[in-house]
Amino acid sequence: MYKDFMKILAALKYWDLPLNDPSYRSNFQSRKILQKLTYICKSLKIQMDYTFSLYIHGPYCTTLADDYYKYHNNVPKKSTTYEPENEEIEIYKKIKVYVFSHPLYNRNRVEFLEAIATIMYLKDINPGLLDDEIFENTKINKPYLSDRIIIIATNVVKQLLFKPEYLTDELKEELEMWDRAED
Amino acid sequence: MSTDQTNILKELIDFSNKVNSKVFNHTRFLILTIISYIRDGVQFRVLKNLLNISDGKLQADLENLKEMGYIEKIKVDLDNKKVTIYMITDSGKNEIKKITSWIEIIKKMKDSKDV
Repeated sequence: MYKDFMKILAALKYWDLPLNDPSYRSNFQSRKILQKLTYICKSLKIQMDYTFSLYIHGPYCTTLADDYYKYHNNVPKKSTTYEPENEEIEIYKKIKVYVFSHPLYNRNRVEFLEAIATIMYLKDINPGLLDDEIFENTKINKPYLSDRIIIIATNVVKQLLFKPEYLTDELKEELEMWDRAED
Repeated sequence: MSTDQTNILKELIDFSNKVNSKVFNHTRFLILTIISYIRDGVQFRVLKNLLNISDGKLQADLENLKEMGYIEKIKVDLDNKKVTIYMITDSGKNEIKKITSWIEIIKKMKDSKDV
């Protein structure tokens, strides 16, 4: 899936995200980040044929793993032949604002990404899940993730999935009211 | 007993000698298969959560597999901390191949009986 992998590299290039060569056994963090970010992009509707399953480390795709071992040299250099569409750039921007700018990303980036990707996966397969059920399911699958990380990640997922068309006049009015209350 | 049946049984017994019986234990085989499937490496805590076994049992089986040369224990950086991951070695991949080939013979034997 050369084209899909080039898409991921285009995203890494946009974010200027430093990642090491994933083929080195010790670069476990780079492999995990690649898996989780790819799933987040796919869940936000960047078209890719990678198929993920909820694995022991969160959503995981073996074909993606094959690709980053095969094209491992491209990762640190972020060299890609793919030119992203405007809609894809909007998604990259969203991830940059809500994920990379979050203070938790600097402290616990892998666990934070793992929590976000897992919650998105749970929402993708069962859109009707309530927050409490998402928390419970995430905790069952990932008992080692702290409650705090899961709760923060749940809110970040809501921000990522929020679409401008959801912002009705009624909601705008309510938000303004809350803003005024905070002042 | 037909010649075919005798041949299959001979193949089954001969091939069983190629399989390392120390790996052919439920937990060890599971651990080896999981670690082989996840090429990226697996953390101890993740294996523990998945297999739902005690730390002591898991640690002992991992050490045994490591001593047999089937898995490798590697210290890696993760979120500015040092963590341990386990990865399959070529010898581990080879052992899985042998075990699955042996299972294939068992399947062949069962299929020929069903016919």
